Amino acid sequence: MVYKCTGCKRVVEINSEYGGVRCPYCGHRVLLKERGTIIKRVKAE
Amino acid sequence: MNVDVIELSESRAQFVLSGVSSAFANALRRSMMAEVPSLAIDDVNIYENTSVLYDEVLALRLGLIPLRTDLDLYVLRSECKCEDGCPRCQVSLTLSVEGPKTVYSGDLQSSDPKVVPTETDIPIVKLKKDQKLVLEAIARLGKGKDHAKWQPAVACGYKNLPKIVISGCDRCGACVDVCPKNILKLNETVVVKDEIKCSLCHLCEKACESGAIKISADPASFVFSVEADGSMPCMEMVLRAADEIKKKAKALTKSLSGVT
Amino acid sequence: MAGLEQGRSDKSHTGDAMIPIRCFTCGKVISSVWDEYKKRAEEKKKELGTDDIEVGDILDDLGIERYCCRRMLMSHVELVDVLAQYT
Repeated sequence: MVYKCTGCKRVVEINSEYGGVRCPYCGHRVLLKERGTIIKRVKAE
Repeated sequence: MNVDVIELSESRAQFVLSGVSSAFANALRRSMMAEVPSLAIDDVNIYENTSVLYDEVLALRLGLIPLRTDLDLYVLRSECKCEDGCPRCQVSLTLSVEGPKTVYSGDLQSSDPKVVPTETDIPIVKLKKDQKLVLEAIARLGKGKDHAKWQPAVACGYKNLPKIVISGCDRCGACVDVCPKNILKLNETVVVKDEIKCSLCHLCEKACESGAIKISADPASFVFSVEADGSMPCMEMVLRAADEIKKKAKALTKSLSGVT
Repeated sequence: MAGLEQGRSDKSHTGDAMIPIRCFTCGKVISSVWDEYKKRAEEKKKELGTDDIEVGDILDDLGIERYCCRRMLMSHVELVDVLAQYT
């Protein structure tokens, strides 16, 4: 699963073996999930 | 039934409808608001949205943009013979912009040159550097009773025709001072400048100690003021509203003809 | 609101980020005059050297007559630029 680090803005792979969530480059703990490539259909209401 | 047009332009109209019941006047008002169809963006396919607005918020903003509607060219989806949308019941509008730029309604590219936003300078979202917006919007006909975005009439209402009778005026001028609409003037006696503007507040009656001024409302005459959102001319909107009432009355007659 | 939901990842509450397209009460399109309204209000503020200005004449001139529409423009605080710092 690909995430983006809010600290260094780099793309980060999450390692499930490591218990916590942490950026391997800068150690920042806040990661954001990027938008998928699917076309999202929204109702205008 | 009689109609006196006071003001008529593309976007607004004022007229006096007389010789009808209040039920009919209200039926016409409700028909304009809820029964006359107009085009509005209904579905949005979002390919990319890195703006500060959520997809849903963006879709709602797009939906509220009034689109020019020719009701002879399009049919309601429920009345269309197609299964999954066709050029007779829907229009596609695309938007593809990259920041930094403010996206306006004029940036929407319509597949039908007749169906365009009525105003080109409605801000949709402000994009910063590296923010991108790619989407396809599907516009459909709909009715105001389903969603306000399909309502061609804006601020549409009526009041009874005011009647002001002055007799035995002692020229004290109290009513002239108290009138919030400034429609009274003091000459030899108090005269009414613009009767139709009276809001029937009765303040002048209370101010007049001699009881010379009497305000009443004609229960069979209605001053309509109608504003359109631009999707169709005001005149067409009122006519279509009357047609919708006619259609409904016909349907009622038909369904009752089976009952004996 | 779920922070990690798809497509919502880096946005905070954005209900009032941009001027609403239409008046909440009557439905008249008011957003199309926002740019012009803001420009004129700023000019007036500069001219008079104060933030405490009256905007009634500007709204009259832009054709915003009813008080429901007038409050839409008068009370709006544009937040896009503030929000953009956090994306």
